[in-house]
Amino acid sequence: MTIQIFRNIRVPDDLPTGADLVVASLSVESRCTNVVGNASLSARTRLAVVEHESPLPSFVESESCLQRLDFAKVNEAVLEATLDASIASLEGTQLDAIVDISCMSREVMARLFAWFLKLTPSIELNLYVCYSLAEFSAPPTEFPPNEYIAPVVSRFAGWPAASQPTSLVVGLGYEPHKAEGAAEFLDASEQWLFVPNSPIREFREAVEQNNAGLVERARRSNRLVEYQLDDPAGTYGQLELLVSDLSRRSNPVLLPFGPKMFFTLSLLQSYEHPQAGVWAVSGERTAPAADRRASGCVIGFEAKFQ
Amino acid sequence: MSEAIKLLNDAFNARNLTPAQVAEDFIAPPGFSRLLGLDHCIMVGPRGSGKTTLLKMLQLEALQSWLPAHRENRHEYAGFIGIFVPADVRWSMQLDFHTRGIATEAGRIALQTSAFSHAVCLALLETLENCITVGRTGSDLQIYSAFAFDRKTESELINTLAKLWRMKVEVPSLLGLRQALRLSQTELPILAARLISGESLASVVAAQPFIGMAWLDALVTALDTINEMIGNKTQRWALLLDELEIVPETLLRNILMPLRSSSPNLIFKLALSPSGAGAMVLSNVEQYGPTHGNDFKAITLGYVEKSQTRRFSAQLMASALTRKGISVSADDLLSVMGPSMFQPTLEAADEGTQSRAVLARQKVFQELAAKDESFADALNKKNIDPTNLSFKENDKRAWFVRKIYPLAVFRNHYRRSAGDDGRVIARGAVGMQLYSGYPILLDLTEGNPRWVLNLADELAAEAEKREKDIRAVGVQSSAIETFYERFASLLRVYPIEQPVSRRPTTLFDFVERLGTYLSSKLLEDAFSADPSLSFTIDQAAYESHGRFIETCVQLGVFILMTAGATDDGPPDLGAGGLVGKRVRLCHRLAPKFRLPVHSTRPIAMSSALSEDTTPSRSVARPQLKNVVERPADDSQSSLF
Repeated sequence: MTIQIFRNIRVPDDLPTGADLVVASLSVESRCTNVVGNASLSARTRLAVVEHESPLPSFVESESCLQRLDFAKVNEAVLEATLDASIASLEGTQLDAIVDISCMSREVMARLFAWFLKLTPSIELNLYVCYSLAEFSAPPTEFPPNEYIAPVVSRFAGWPAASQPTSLVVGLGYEPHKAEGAAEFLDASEQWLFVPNSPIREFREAVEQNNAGLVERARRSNRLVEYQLDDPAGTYGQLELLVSDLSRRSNPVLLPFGPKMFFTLSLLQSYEHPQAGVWAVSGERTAPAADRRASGCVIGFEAKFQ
Repeated sequence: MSEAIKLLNDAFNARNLTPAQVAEDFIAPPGFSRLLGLDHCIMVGPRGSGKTTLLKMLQLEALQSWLPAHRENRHEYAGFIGIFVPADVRWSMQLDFHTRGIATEAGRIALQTSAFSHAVCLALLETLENCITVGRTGSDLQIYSAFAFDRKTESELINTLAKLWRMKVEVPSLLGLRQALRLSQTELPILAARLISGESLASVVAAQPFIGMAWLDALVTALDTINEMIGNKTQRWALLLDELEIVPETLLRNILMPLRSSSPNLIFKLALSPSGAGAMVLSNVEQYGPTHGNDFKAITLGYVEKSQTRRFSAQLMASALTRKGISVSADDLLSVMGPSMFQPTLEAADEGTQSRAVLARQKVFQELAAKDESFADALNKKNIDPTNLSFKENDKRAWFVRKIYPLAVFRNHYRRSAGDDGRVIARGAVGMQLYSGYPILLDLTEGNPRWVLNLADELAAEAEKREKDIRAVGVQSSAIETFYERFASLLRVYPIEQPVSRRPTTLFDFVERLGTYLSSKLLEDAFSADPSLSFTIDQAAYESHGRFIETCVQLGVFILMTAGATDDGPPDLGAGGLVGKRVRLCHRLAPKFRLPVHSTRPIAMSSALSEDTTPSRSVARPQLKNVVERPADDSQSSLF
């Protein structure tokens, strides 16, 4: 089973009101309710994944909002079990699911997508993925130490073939040193950079500024790819071209820092090209929690698996 | 020239080059000839020290193109055929991720061993294909002629190998067998998933018999078969295993044990990091396994004499710059890079230059004495007048002046006058002049091949961008900054296990703490003619930061200063082996922490770690701590 249709959608207009399943998250980031709060969704199962409980007002407020919208709180530790239970009574062989990735950690996103993709090919899957961009906030100046740089979950680890060289596709974020250091760590035979053009202009400036050396070297070797954050279908196409080419001569590792939308697209690439792994650094979940408000810009795509 | 060399953004790793490409630009480091014999060898060296290059050079294809032009090494080559098995951190991590959920140890080991067996068998097929191709087209090397067999014989050989390896081959050709192995390799994650879901190992092996094979049996029986086919039952083969330290521990143990007893036709050439998991396992295996000297020869890379390191770096730098279009020989580097600030005054030969050198020293000494009371006191105690540094040759003061000159230049460069409150004010942003020019620029690379290539790349790119010569100060400053910042970025994100009881710390934080400690002592304390610029790893430091210390050795952040490390002595194996060793920070980070490119007496590492030296532009003069006794071999004779 492969992805047959991949298209950009307008959120919330193009979201199916009768989806079977909606998965959002409950966090201290107030943008976590931005998508589901503005859509009229009548899905039977509505889940709000909680990774960290918090007494912060933004968390409490979002919790109330999601309760009003009939979302059930799910601790991330029991995510897969809850999802299994939610589709136990699914009639037919098609599942329409809406996922708001805005406030999910990369690990939870990977687990969630691994669960969805495990349903294929016995179930025809229509995924609607939404991403609410946050207002710009300055990049962190201090970083928690990493305990690993590794595949995000085993489903997206890629193949352990030693005979092929490792190639690297880095999605740039705006944190200084992170991408440069991880690229040095993996020491790949070939390295490509994806630089986001975000509707939030300050973000792009910070990305360039904090990765100046890496960006310059990628430009020198013509291995810099600019992508439009608000065009996930176009970005998916760019990734597909590159990853399918790299897969012929190497084992690609995708290292998607930066916007979570790019991370999601990387997971789907790994689904289409199982030898390509999606990797992450461990620091994310130990970073201090902070409220991030919605910028008002929401992007989304639909992927149909047949 | 390969694309991998040309492109600026790729890693400088020989892993990605063909043997012929490696041979094309190969510059033999000291000790290379010792790898050409029939001994089992374990090469020990930090990341980037050239282990992969050396292993790849032991492949027949590489030796065939390199040896004819290097006849001095030809008679040392013992005629083995090298089988290079690549491995990298990606492979190791993926293997771990796919097998960590398998509940039974037997299942986990079977999967890991199978992954390794696939890699070994594929590597053997690649080697075999090269031998057959060259054998058929003819070669000067006698060794190839035995492989000039026809298609029918090739088919017979492939059928036998496929049978031995329990592979189903549609077409009995090298390509057919390779494809079957690759297909089988892609099934490993699926088989792992089956084992994770609770299926028994026996049932998985029944479906995929290759899983049950021991990797050494798979290799040795294949080699015996090939030797029979080529009519030479004593043909030696060398298994060239790279990056052993990243291999899962159980598998590593499995790989290392055959060093003591295996087929007489199979020798091992292994590459290992000087610390970390691989070395630790090797230390343990030594208790009942192979022993140094008896079973294997240890070759330590990267810790050679400074003059040797410079010569090697210069050759490599010249070669790399030439490939970038800047045609230069190693002997021309002084004129291409320009002299370092220290060069003319330290190595003056003729009378005119000598007097200019004296004047240059006087200028520095006067400037520093005027703003640094402690320096003026030190000169006064030795009865030295900074306005007159002309001494007779046998005057001890002449020796003292020469000895402290580099320190004076360094201190003068970074220091302003002390403020009214006695606090020393370090200068703000300063250029990289102290680290520019020949040979200091080369010293920053520590003779680490990957670092030399990295710096050459940055120099060439900056020169092109600014449309200036490499000699230009701006070009060198910018290249140096990028050079050390890239390394610092790696240290900031390098994953490391955190000590349970301490505040989370990145590797960079740890290194910065040590670097800042040395720098503050050097620049802000009272002047010392013999400051501490290296560390002894004491028990307390190891207990609190063992994992950090090991990783620093592994990455080349710490340079081991053990005397005689290039001899055949045992490498510094395992974490315990590092206690009592003397190390210094690598020169690549010297500009980052404002440290000179040399080292002097050591201080206990725990002393530096226990002192709060938060980076600051203005700090009170700290009191000197107790320091470790100065070792007998210590001197500043190699300053700059």
